[in-house]
Amino acid sequence: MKQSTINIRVIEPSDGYYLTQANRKDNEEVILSEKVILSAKDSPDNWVEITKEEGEALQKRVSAELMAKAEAEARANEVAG
Amino acid sequence: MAKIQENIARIQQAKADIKEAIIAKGVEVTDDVRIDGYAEKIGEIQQGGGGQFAVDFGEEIVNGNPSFIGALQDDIDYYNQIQEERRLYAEGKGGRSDSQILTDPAFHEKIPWWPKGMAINFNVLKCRNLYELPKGYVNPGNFYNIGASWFNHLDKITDEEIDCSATTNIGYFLNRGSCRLVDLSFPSVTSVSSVLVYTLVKEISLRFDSFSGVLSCCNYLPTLKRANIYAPNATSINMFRDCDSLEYVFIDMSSAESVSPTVFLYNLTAPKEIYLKGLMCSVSSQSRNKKITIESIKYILDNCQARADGAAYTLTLHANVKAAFMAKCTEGDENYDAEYAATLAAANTKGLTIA
Repeated sequence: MKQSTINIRVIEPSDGYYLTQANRKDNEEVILSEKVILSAKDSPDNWVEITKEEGEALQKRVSAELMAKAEAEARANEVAG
Repeated sequence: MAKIQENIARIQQAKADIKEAIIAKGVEVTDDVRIDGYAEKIGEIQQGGGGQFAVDFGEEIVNGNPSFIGALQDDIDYYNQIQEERRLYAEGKGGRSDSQILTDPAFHEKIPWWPKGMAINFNVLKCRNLYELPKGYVNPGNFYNIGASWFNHLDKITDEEIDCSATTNIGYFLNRGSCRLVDLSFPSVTSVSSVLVYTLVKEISLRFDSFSGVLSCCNYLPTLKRANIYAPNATSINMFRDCDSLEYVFIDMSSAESVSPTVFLYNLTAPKEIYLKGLMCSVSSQSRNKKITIESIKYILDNCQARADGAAYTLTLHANVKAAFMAKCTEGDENYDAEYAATLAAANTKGLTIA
């Protein structure tokens, strides 16, 4: 018989909230999660709650900004090229 | 009846003449293109300053430099095409003077038959039906686009043949070409729209040291067996989709000081070996990829490695996928599988957070 026990830390947001990165960099997409399984090297401090409405709006805006930035760089390089 | 036959013959001749005229403008018209497809071909003809030109190979090239176009006899269709076209195309774009393609005086020493007065102002390059690129043949500098299908029939493309050191942005690169090896480094590239799609390549090694844009590459490579990708900040969508022969993948993003926990999605149904080092991986609702399975998630976790700097990194999963995977790891759940629980525990100690 094979038996195993794993100890993992799971953090979940309050009702109506997502968890997102506490220290997201400008070039990073927004992660929205209702359950985060923390690795042994991660900390709950790296995650913060955000309302679902705010989180979805933020994710949409950041995603659009990153895409626009990539397209602008492509156009700029095309002109410069 | 004779009148009808004359008209048919006249139409057939007109069709052949139109085809030749289109080809003379640098647009490929294969035998399978019917006459109702000619309008589209005509629409592809480039116009305006700095436009397209064609250069006849001439007998001296065909006979004197067989390495350029030799050894294609196995591919009868393409060989016939070469015999028919005997052209080398270069395509200009807007009359800019800063492109380095084909403008290096040394180029003319290497390719003495190239018409010196014409090889200026090009930043889009076609090298169709060349069997190999002589070393130093292409010095693209800040070229934007090495175009689709424009490197057909090359056996390999390496840094020795194409200097990509100053390239900051690349678009389509290789399309439906037959090429055994692509081994290139793009130290300055920050944005990639699409790289290596629809190519009969068997091995690739790509390095993007400064990359931060959207990378959608390495798709539809049916013959690809090995891939080495060095992309510290790759944000990739649909990586390795439909690479059914893929056996070995090495992806190294661990050299970056910071890594974007963004979409790095690939189809992992086929690879037999995969080495993910410092990988930030997301299988999110943005993916639309139906091929991601619980088994493939386990595969990722089984093969993930701790980052060199010891930091945590994040694999983001769609809520439904995550729930299904966690059910496999939870004792008491009807789907519990001890192997999955062990996989999760091992990945957890390596620093992999799942969000």
